[in-house]
Amino acid sequence: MSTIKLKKVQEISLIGILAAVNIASRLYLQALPNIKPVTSIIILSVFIFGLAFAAKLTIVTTIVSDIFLGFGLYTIFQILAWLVICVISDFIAEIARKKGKMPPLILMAIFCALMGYVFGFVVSFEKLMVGGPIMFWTYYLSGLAFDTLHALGNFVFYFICAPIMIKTFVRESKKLQ
Amino acid sequence: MNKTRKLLIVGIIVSLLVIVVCSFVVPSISKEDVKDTSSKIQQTQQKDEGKKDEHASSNEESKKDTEKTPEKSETKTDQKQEQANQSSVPNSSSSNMDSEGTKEETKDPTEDVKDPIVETISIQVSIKGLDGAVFVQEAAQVEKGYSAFDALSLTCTKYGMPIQTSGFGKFVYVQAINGLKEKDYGAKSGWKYNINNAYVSSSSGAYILQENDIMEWYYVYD
Repeated sequence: MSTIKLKKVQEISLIGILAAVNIASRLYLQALPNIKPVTSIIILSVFIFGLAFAAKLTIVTTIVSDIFLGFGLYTIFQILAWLVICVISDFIAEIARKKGKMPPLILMAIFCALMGYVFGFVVSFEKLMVGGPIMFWTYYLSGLAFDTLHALGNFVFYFICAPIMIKTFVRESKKLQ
Repeated sequence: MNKTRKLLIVGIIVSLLVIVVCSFVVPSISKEDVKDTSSKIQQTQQKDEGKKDEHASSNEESKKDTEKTPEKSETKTDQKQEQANQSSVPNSSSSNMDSEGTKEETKDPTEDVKDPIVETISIQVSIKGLDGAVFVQEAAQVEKGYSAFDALSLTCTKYGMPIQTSGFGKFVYVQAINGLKEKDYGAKSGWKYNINNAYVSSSSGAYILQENDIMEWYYVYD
């Protein structure tokens, strides 16, 4: 599959819609720790719309949702973590583009789950900055349970999000052009 | 397409480098601080030894020392009395009084060494939940320079009560204490604090506690 090329207006409106989904999920799934579709949606948007779109989506999602959830030094690191995930999944997306189709659903879901651990690792860099390596490792290891929940959430939400997003956007893209 | 990827990779690598550099800078500062304080302590010890010698030799020096000593001994007895009250052992306070009456001059040098490390101030802490239900009410000792929030978190960890906050430093905001959350009882409900029964306009992270302050945390409805 190839990335869908969007006009400027379409891009802005799509970023708005997907960011709204992300923000709503971050606000209203607060009861479930780290189980949120945000990472899955970002990875899918890298595959469908390309890296630049996903990067913009990441920044909008993080900043707007942190207006409600509270700003901190971690805001920067959340953006950084999701950008790292974007870049990693872009390498996979390039392989998929060469082959001309999406990788199997289960493989992609496992990839999403791994990205949950990557996210936890990068966000922990905040403590490296504040308190040195010892604080970083203690913080990371104590957060490993929540990373596992994040991975589990990604795995589940990929199965929900992937069929919906790929089908709708590929179908709509034919109408748009 | 490739441009954005290159840009992002470069950006991520640069930010990671900044983080690593920061992680090296921050601990080095703290180590220097530790060295400074330890050297200061050594200096004070040397001074005290010098004082002892002079005290033995000349009368004028001894007068100065005795002028200084009563204040310090008073503060120390106060602290000890309060500690004794908390631990509810009445004998220890009286024994301290006796021992200080006799060994006042010999004890003082050790006090001078202890004072620069931890200067404590005594405050009253009370945390009140719904309808003034008292969670905690006690006299506490905190380090000098502690903010109202620091004292709160110290008390809460002492009693095993979890607190939820957002923000950090001077911008800290207390969301919940011991499971009682803001907005649980109406949109405007939440935690507030008084110092000496008066409203304080600054954040709890910004207010620095004074000697004998009465800090009260309470929950308000709409």
